[in-house]
Amino acid sequence: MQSPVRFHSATTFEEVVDALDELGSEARLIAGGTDVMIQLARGELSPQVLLHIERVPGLGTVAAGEGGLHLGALVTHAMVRSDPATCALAALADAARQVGGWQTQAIGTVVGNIVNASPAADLTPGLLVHDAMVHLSRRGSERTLPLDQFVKGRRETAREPQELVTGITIAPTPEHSGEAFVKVGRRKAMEVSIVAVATRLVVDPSTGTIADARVAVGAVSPIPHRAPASEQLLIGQRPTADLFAAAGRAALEGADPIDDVRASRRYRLAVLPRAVAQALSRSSDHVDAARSVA
Amino acid sequence: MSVTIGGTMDRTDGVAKVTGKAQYGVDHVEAGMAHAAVVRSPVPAGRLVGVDVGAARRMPEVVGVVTAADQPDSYGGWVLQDQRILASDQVRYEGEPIAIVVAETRAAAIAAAAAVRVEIEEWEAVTMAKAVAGEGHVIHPDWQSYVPTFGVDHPRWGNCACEVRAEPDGVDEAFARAAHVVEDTFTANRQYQAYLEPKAATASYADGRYILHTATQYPFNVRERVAQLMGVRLSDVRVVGKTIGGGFGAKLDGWVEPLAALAARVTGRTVQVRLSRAEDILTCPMRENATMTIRTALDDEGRMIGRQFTCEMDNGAYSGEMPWLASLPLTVIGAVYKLHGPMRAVCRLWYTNTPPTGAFRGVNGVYLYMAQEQHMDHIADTLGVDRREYRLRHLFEDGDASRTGQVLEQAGILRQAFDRLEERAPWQEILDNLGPNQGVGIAAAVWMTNPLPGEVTIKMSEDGTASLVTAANDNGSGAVSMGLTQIVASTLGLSEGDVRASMPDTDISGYDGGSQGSRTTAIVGTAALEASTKVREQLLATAAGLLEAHVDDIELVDGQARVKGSPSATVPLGQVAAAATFTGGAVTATSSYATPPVPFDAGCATGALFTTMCTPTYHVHLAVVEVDDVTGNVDVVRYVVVQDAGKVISPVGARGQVQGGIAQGIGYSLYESQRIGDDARLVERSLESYRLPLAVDIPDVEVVFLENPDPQTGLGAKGIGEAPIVLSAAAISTAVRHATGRTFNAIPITPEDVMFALQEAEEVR
Repeated sequence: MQSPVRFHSATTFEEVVDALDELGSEARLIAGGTDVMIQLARGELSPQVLLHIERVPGLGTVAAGEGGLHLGALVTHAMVRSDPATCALAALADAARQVGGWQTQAIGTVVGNIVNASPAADLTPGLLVHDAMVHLSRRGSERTLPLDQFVKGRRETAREPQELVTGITIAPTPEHSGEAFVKVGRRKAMEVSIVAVATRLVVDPSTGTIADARVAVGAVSPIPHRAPASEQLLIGQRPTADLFAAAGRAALEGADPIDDVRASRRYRLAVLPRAVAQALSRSSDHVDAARSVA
Repeated sequence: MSVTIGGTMDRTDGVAKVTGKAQYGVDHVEAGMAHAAVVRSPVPAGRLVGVDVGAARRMPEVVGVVTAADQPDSYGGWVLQDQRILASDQVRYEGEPIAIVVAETRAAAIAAAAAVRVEIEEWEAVTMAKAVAGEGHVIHPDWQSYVPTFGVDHPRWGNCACEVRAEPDGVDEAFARAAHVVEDTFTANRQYQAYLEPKAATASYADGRYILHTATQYPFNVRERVAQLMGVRLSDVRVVGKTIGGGFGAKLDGWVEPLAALAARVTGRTVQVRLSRAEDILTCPMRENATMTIRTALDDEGRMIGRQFTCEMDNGAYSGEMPWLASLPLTVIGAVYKLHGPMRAVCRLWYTNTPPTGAFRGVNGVYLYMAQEQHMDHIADTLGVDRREYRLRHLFEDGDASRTGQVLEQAGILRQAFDRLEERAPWQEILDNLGPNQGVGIAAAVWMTNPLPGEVTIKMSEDGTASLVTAANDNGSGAVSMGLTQIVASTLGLSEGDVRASMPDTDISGYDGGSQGSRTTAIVGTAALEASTKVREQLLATAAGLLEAHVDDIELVDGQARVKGSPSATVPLGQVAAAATFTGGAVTATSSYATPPVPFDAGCATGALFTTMCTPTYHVHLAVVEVDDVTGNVDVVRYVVVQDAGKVISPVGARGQVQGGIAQGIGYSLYESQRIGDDARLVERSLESYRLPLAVDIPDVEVVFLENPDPQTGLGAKGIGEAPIVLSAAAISTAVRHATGRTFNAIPITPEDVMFALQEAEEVR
């Protein structure tokens, strides 16, 4: 029989980093537990201690500050879709709105979604288009990594066993930008993404051309990633349906999806260009909408 | 307030279910109860070389370990006796029970079950494709010795568990003179019943009898299966029902109950078997996978003058109910629309190394109608005729007959249903207003009400309430908690809360055919009406004496007997019942009812065990779908059901059955792929990968009930619950065909299928 797991609910930041320092990989951090509990039930994890951090103060807020918007480690998907600072960021808020079901969104954290490092993590593409930085702390030190350097592989991150991810910062959103998130799943809710796409376009109002383009894709490779070939195709061009379709096809570069019970590789490759084109088209519409309001 | 037929009432089981007080099969507890864990075959096929239970027996809290050596040398089966409780010399599907570990706790039983060592020499598994091709080993080498339960055997051999064959004259001639020939092939995946409560049963053995507590849909069938498999008389088994956490057909036969009974017999303990969700999926008698070919000869006027139909159905490793279902194509294909000529039909049921398949709401009707209706669209397109118009031109009328020779006296209801649909959803208007990527489908069906017998006893209590004692049970449909209750209460002038239904108990109630085939409200309802009418007569007679009035002048209203026109001359029913009890005896009556046999043509086919649709009902459905050209997902944006209900007893329940049936049908048509791999293993093995549709995926279904009373049932009611799902795949698949201009030959229609079709269409352009 499996040995029982000890559950420790920390109430201070120091308690967490001290425990991590002592236990290292024998401790498994748990916040909402929406991924951890499933992995425990499947026998994929066997930590000595579940180190619960939901009661640690100071980690549960969305705050605007220097360098952008800071999302604490305990910020849930429900907060991202409802907080005034994040709810307008469609690439993030729409992703948060489509993670699992309402129960998952209510207790599951954005940082948890990142740290879990699933290839299908829904929030990762949206954070990538926003140049997210990941903040890590351990006893006596802290460091910050760009998100694309933090996620290293399927279920693999740059986090050391002694480190706690304390939050994420996303860069300020430029003017004249529009963004979107497109999730491909069989049902309208409670799906693990078959393909996920986040895009952001900045359109120069004087020329009507695309000044900056961000395309990030999930569930088509071990790590959600930006699609530079798509982005380069877009920059300097006028937004049109044909351009978006071409950018969608360019996103296939670097895509290497799996065949699994959820969807075939062939399907993922068929859907990816269409989903990218759709996200770009919605992003472009959002730029226009923002301009017409202004 | 008195309860009325056609009025609304609260379900009598509603509060208990919502508050968590209802006692389901998994909730059953008895003093001294032990728990079982089942050791199952890890492979689909092989020779069982050895089972080592030594280590498991020595584990903590283990009471005993049961293997095939402990089971009686008897076979059982609903139609054909091809099953034993535990695998002995070979394993025939992944998940087949090999041993049962009984321990003081469920956790200890599960831990000890993991310590049982099973040695199997694995064989290449037989899938349906292999069975049809005549490849692979014979799964039941002793097939010839298997005994048919009802005495009459049917054509079968080797891996073919049943063959139904209709070979009328003139088919080849019809095709020879045809102006057009239209042919289609279709496949359908399995569908998991996916109820909330995985199967569970508790058994004890004492004084030569087995007592089972189980949330079964069909207590008398479970009694028979346990008796067959344990080699005892029917009356040596008592089955007591529990609240059912859904069944949809999967809880009609005995699957877990025989395991519990055997374990109780061997260990001398009361034993509970409770499946995990993973075990329930792995071993559930799902709706079978099938392949079909349908080919129709048309004359130059577009009339259908001949047809060939073949159907291969996957039986799984054991037969269960399936040999009956091999006949159903004869009553479906070639009904509804006039076929002016002969139909050759061959339907075969194949043993495979997969879990046994079984009944699921609408059984094979869902894929048979899908095939027939897509084929009708194909024919209409070939002829260049509007799809609805072609259907109307060839629609059955009163007195037309199915391919088994059953005369459908009320088939004209079909035209009435098309007319009502047209009022609700005018065809041309829908066509004109379809948005981009949208399509509309239309489909019609005749369906049945299961005719098996039922019995009801009504007992009046001295407080004026009535007990409804029956083995009919409520699988969640409301057929007992509303339907029967409503019939009894309205007949006796009682209010909500004054009629209480018993749980089924095979020792107490007369035979009941189970909650299946929409039968309870219509068929058991007929017995309920008759029994409560007899009770009413007894109450009236006693009340007449108490009120000193003539029987004909007394009415039962609001729990009272009163003289018509004299509101002050009343006596409470409790007083009437008490007076009767202590003078002439308790007020009680029992009635039973079974649908009379329906005439058919016995020469229509060989091997046909199930040849008629009793208490037939008529249906037309319309679906509007929208295809997402980015993902290939299909959204059902509108769904209209016109359904002949005979007489609606309980409108809320009836509507709920339609909404639920369509939800399940949308799942079947678009979401729920239960695939079988080439290795004969299930591909989808959890509710994470098996995609049940969610509330957000289902539209609010528009329901129009037609009331054409059945001439035989008590109140004219016909079956309601099963039929809605029967046309779902037909309506949705024809709508997707319309939206995309492509035929989808496989159910479910997956986003992948649609996406690849869209890609192909783009490449052509």
